[in-house]
Amino acid sequence: MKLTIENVSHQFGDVKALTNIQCELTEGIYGLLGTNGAGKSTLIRAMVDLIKPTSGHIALDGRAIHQLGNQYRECLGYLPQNFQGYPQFTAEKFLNYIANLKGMSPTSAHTEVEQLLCLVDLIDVKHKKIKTFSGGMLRRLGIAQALLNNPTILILDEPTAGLDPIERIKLRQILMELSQYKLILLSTHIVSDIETIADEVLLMNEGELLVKAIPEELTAQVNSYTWEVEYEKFEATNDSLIISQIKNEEGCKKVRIISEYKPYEEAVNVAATLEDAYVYYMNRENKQG
Amino acid sequence: MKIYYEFLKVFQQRELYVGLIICTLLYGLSFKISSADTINLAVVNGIPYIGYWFIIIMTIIVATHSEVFEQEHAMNELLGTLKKGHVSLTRTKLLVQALMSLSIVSYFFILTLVISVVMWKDVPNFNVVDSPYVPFTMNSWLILGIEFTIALLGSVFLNFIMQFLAQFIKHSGWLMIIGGTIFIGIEVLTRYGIFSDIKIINWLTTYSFNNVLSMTIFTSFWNYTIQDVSTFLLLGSMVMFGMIIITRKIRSYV
Repeated sequence: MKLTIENVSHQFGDVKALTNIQCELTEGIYGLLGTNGAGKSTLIRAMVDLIKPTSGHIALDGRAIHQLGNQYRECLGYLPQNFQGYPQFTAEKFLNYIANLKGMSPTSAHTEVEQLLCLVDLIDVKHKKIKTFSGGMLRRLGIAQALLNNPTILILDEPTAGLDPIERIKLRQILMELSQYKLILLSTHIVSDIETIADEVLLMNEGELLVKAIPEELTAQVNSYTWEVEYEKFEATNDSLIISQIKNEEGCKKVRIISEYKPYEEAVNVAATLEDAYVYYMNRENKQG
Repeated sequence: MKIYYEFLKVFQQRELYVGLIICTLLYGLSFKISSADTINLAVVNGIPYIGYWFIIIMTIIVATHSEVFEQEHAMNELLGTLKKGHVSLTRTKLLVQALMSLSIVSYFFILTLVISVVMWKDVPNFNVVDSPYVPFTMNSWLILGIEFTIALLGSVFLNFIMQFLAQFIKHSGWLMIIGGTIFIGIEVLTRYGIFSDIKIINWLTTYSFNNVLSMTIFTSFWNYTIQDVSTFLLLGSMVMFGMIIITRKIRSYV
């Protein structure tokens, strides 16, 4: 299975939302990172065939997805950013409804709905109305509906929004288990959501795909630019320095700085994280822009 | 199964119950006011003066929430990615809306029956169509059937027009305001004869749903038969159905 995004550009009136996006995705987990308004949701909407790109096309195994139509939808699971569900439906009823719209038979739908409700820990509240659900429960229901009919392509827009830390870990476990035979794309602006599970990371900024690489590759490029210094030594007024993190370590406040040169005499070069790489790329692009 | 879920969505609307209570009360009161003289007058007055308000108002309420329901629950995006979330779902919605029109009209006729029996201990003869094509000598059950058919086809046609508008106006409030304003506007123009000398106003009031569903079209214009009107309403409903499906196919991208 290969999903090809070929020179995809999209415009809303005069506003360019996507500019010449080009990449290939196969089985595995992909993390789509970018600031708010970077074009992540527009790219996702093009990938799930909700919008037709102004130019370029997206193809599954060489066939354009808008031509595949229902054939493509059969193998697609999608969680939109602003998923709400029907407030008066119970969780079970809602999943059965979505299963019906996915073309599943009532018997197989019933079995799968039960399994998915167990998987996302909503089995005990399956008869409760969606309007009584918390943000996290609603998100888990959204994930469950995306997994219905065992899709081979799973596209999740901000799946961890509203989830507590335990739920986030659980979601990562679920996705890791599923990723062997599926193409999973996670869109987020929270780097830690994908740091440990993504096979590849796609960084987007202002409608452009900056880089597509494995996390180790991304961090390796920034390793020599990542510095740590005690907070007291850090001059907050120095605007040219890019701060990636301020943390409290053993009672000592430390600042993580991304800089192509050693910013302070006392600064120590440390191993970069994906968050450091993200901060580096975003700032580099903004400076160039 | 899809029909079951669409019915569930329809019955979630609070407006449906509020409208039903208000319309039932109004209809009951209209009998009380207009029926001082004779039983026959009361029954005759049922549809042409107040009764059709019931059908039009309830049809507008039911129709306005169908298509925009998904928009108002932010479900369009998800449904657009499902195999049967596009045209197939729209077809089901239209079928459910037609069944809802059937329910509204049936409820209305049953209500008339109940009110008549309760108030006058008599079954209404439903002789509301005063037309040479529907003579009073005709079997009263046949007349009932004719009225029921016209009311049902009119309600379905109106419903589908609202559904078509909903393809472009994605807000139930606006749809209700548009539908309600047209209904009230035509009602005022017809009742008070305002601008009746202007040809277009005259045409509008004549061929309005108000005139068709009140069966006045048969009394005012002798050259329209029951067959003419029912064929027009049926064809109109079919054309609207087709146009909605075509619009959905063209506008498949949200």
